Amino acid sequence: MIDLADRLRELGDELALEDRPLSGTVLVRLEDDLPERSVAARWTWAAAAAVIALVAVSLAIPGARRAVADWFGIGSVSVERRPDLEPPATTTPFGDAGDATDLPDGRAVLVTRIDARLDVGLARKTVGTATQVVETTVAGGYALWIDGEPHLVTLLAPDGAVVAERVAGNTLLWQEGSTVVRLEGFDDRADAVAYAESLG
Amino acid sequence: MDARSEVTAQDDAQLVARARSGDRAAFGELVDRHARAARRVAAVISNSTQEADDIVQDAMVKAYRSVGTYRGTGSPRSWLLRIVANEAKNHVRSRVRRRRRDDRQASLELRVDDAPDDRVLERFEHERLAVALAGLGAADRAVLGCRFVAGLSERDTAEVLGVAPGTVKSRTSRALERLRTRLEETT
Repeated sequence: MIDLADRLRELGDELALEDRPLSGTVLVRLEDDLPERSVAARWTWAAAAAVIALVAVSLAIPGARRAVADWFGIGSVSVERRPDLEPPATTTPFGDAGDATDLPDGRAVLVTRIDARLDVGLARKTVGTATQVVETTVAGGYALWIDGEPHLVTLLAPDGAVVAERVAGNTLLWQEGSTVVRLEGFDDRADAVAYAESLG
Repeated sequence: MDARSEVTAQDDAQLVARARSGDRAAFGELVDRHARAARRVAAVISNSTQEADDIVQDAMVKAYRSVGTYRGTGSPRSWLLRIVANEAKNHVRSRVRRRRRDDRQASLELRVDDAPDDRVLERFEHERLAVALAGLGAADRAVLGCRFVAGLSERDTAEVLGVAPGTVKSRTSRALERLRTRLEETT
């Protein structure tokens, strides 16, 4: 007869409990809960200039417009085209403002660079069981493809802080030197990767 | 404490020290190291595999906020699991308050498993054991959950539950006895 204590030990392995790492979710919650959000805020502001550019080129694409509104968590917004708008000087210390490009087929793509590190271990924890985050490569380097819906991604800021960022759907993230590059505007991962590789 | 767990405890202490100075990645590492035991402790104390993950998440967020209060008297692991155990107990209280003590949430479920034929009996035994365990009183479940389901030592179990090691020993044998009785009743 098997000892009852041993049977309880075995039961531990059989319980319907999650196996995936927990830290991704916990770190994201810490980021949301704590008042200290300077790093995330800096990124958001740096990205703001880029997003304005994205909005300007993507007004004709309702899905993209919706994604931009969602990304800021502000629901429905009305956006004016302001090609004269210069990003304020305070928005630039953390990454550049992004390059919006119109492809020959009329598609608008946006490339943004953020001073951060796409830590593979950390990113994997965020990926967890989420179906909409796909690991891929750009020119042999680690990359993440956010498929369809917006998703939280964990990154390391230059000061070592963990930053959880909400990234719009259909976005490719990869590391290039000391920056994380974000590419938006493609619906298909292979197209995004091909375009990303053409940049390098 | 064996050599391996001593090394782990030292590493854990370093992670706690780094977490105290605001290194969240270090805290994340600590969380992942003990997630398995934490989920089991939470499940058995709350009597719910379904709610275990939420409980552990809440507990870990609280642990990070109170990492400055960790005094290093017990191991970081038992400090963390104690917060998990308390969160699970609070969770049960609030569930009772909310009158949502329904069977869907409060049960110890097993993994969905395409058990091969030779494992069907084993599976059935695990199910019986889970039901019997879930039917025990809270104190019995807490001690058996920590000691065996989560695989903690007597000393760690004592720290997690905030009782003397001798109490763990006596409670464990009484709880095992009651579990055995329940199992025999359902045979």
